[in-house]
Amino acid sequence: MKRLSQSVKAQGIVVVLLVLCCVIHSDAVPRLPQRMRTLPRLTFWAWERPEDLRSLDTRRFGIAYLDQTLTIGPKVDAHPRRDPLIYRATASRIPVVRIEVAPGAIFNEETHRLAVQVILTSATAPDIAALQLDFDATRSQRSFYRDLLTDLRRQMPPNLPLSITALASWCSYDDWLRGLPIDEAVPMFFRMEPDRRRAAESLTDFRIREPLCQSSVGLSTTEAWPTEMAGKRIYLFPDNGWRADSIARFERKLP
Amino acid sequence: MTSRRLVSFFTLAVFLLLPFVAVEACGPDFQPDTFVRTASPDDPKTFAQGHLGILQQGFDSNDLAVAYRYLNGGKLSEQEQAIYAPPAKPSNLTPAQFEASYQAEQAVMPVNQWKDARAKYAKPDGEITPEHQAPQNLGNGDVYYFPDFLNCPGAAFKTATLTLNSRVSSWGAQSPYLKDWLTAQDSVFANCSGKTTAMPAPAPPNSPPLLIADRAYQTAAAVFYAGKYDEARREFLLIAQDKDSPWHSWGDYLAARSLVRLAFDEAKKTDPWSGNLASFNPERMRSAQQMLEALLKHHSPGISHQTILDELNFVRMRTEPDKRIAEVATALAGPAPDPNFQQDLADLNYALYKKIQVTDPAPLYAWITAFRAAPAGNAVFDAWQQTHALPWLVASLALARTKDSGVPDLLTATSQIEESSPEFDTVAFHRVRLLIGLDRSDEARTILDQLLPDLRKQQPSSALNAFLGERMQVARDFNEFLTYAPRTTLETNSEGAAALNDCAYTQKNAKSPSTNCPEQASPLQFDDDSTVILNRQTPLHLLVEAATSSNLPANLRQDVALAAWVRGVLFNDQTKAAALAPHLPDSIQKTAGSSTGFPAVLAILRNPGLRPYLEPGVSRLASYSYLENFRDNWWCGSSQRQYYAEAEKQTMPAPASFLSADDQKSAEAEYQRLTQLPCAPAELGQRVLDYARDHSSDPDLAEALALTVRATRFGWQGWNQDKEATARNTAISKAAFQLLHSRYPNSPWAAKTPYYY
Repeated sequence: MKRLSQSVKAQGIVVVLLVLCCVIHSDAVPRLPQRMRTLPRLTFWAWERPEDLRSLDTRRFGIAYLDQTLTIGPKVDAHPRRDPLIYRATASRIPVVRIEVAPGAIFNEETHRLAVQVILTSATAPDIAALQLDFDATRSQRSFYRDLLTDLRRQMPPNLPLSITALASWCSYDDWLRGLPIDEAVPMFFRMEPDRRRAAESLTDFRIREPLCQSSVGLSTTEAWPTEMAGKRIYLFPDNGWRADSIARFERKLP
Repeated sequence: MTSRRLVSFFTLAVFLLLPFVAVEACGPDFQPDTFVRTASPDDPKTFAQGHLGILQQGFDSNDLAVAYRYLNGGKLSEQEQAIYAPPAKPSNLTPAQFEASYQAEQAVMPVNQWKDARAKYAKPDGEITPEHQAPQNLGNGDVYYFPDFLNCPGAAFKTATLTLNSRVSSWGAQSPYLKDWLTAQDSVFANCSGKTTAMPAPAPPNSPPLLIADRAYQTAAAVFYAGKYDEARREFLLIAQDKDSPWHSWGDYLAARSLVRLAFDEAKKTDPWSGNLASFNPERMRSAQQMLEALLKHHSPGISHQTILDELNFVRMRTEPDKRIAEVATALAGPAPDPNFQQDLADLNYALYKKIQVTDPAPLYAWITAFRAAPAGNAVFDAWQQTHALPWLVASLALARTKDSGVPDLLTATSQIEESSPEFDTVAFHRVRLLIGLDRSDEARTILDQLLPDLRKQQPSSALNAFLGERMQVARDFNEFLTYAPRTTLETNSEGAAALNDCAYTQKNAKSPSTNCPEQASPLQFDDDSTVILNRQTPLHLLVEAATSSNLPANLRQDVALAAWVRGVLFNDQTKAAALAPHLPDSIQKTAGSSTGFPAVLAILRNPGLRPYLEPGVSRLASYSYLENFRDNWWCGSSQRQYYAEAEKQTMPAPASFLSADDQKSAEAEYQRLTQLPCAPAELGQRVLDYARDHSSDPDLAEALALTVRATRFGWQGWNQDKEATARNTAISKAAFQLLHSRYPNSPWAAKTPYYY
């Protein structure tokens, strides 16, 4: 009886481990975070360029537009968007705050406080669907960003989803995103230099392991797309702006 | 027992399936190191004084307007120089100094001066945001979002501060009228951001006439900043008619400004590409122009002529751009100083940015447009022929191609340019360029040899580097080539520079550093043109010569020695490798000796920055011992480092006349041979495996096998990784891994190598 019991126990553990393996490496349709479910699956990024997105079908597509750029130096400087943007009033909108780090940047409580204060001005704009942050984080800056995101999440409207863009490497062979108080990290499958060297033959080999990165993907209009995008929220970046990178063409191309 | 094994097996499997590797995950944006600046002058301050260097087509309109002034026989006044090149802020402030400087900057901002003045008499009343930040609903289902529109300019806060101080004097600090005035003024500035609309309450009954007049003005201003421009225009016109109001002299002017804003507000916002306030209702704008023109003729002394003229010029740039651009271009061209220099530069930039087509443009406007666009045909040359003006001669020469029919005339016309003239560097550079193209190298060399000695005594500059590049092209022998090949980097942003910084940092901070690199990059490096010749046209025996040449600085001698030695090892050229060995860094020399066999391969595996070619800017060879974060380790193929944007660009070598045909043929054969070799990890790994077959007792073999596996993991696989190359890499990795673990299972190298790749 004892041997049988041990055998059953071992089999149970094996089953659990197999299930874990499947979960971690599953290519199945990812579950969208709760707060993100009301957003369109397809979102067009509008960066610092004049953009006319009125032709977008607002039932299918959202807009994530650069709203302001925040530069952390010895102080924090904020620059609002400089170029005009036109969109349908019914569009689902995500303001994006880009965070730059200037030489001589100081990461302390004061810059933390000022950065949160600036970001909150975007987070509290009326009728927005989510907030997205775009930043690069070196290893030494990560604790700053972790604290910033935690504090921001605490102060921003509770139901507003918080999204960040992420280097593909953060989502693949790094683990610093784990546990961040965000609803999604969008792995950017473009501008991957020098990370591209890590991808073997194609983007599909750039496996996304981080759970926060499983539900979305960031693409560009001029670089190759990965094949595994089923069920993911897709953000599309126009390398040449939406006037040159035909909106209609990508509306058709997107799944 | 069986179940325990199963559990252990699956646990191990899970861990093997999740090889999380911590890596540096920042996203650096590497760019080639800079030797010649093409987007801006080296030093705006000296440029403003007329030291123009070599004019580049990539310069912006401010730079070219300044250049034109000097080419036109004028110069910038000291005031204009300060406007074009304001004093740079010190870059090495301590945190305390920075804080003080920041506070000083903040303190003089009109909005903050207003806040400070207000704080003396009232409690804080929230933030003021001068920029309009609210999206505008266009009413047809479209939203226009232009968030950086400066709604409340500095002058508004300055006027408010002055008025506050005046009213304190009139009414006293504790006066209820002052309190009422401040409350109303808060409403005015609350409208700046566009997020709220607030209107001042009417002045209390029995208020003094001054407060009543102020309230009328505050109300009009609040309406104006709330974006109700037609209403604001009417309110300001009423103030203009009230001769008792202290604001009456501003009434007409502000009514005209309301019209200007109304003109933009009524524009069809269907053209987001039109830029900063470019779409407008032309009728409204013309009405504003008429008002301002009338006001300019008859205005009260309470408002300055210049204030009205500035607004009028702003309007005319939109209503009659031909005339206004001509005025701006003529004023900027000089030779006399332009009293409106700053605004004229801004207007010129606006006109060029908007690509405003002008019939019969003023010379400066036509010159900048032509110089930047390099129109096909003879338009620029014809302009010079017609005008005989120096700016057109310079532009014709700079844009001329060797085969153009006008080149002989241009060369003749520029043969007597004085060295002290502002155009000298541009003219000399392009004269030499054309002479080289015409196969008149001796003349080109004579010019360069006359000017280079003096130039070399000065600070490194784009011009010096450009002339050195030309001098290198007309080198008569290999030694002369080596003399002129090195240039001084003006900016470093390359991956090689970053690797060297990281290497130096690691060396300084690691407990037991395993790297060997200089603390900082030497300023003298090879530019693109030098490395193309060294990599593709220079045979190995000349590279050996270069590695010992006193014409090269020590850092470049070492780079050449390393690259040539790696080539020697790859080609199994024992003689060349042995000749180069004494010039290698000690650690490599000690490992490799003079061999091209296993010890040499081990030395290369130990030093990830090694490669058989040279790179422009700071080379990875300079940090040869450092394992770089972004896989720029060892090499793949024969090419020098490329940036992704340039990955498809094929750099074709210029023929080096000082190299014999035989040398060039040998070099090309060597280049092709390098091209055929597999990527470094596979090539080096195969050599290790071959050696291992018959030398199992070699004490370094375990390390070499482990380093082979490391190279297959962190080595560069090339830009175009094909299946075959990937499979070869994995096969070598696996074979080295298996041999390491089967033959040396207890070696520390086996313990350090848990996987193959």
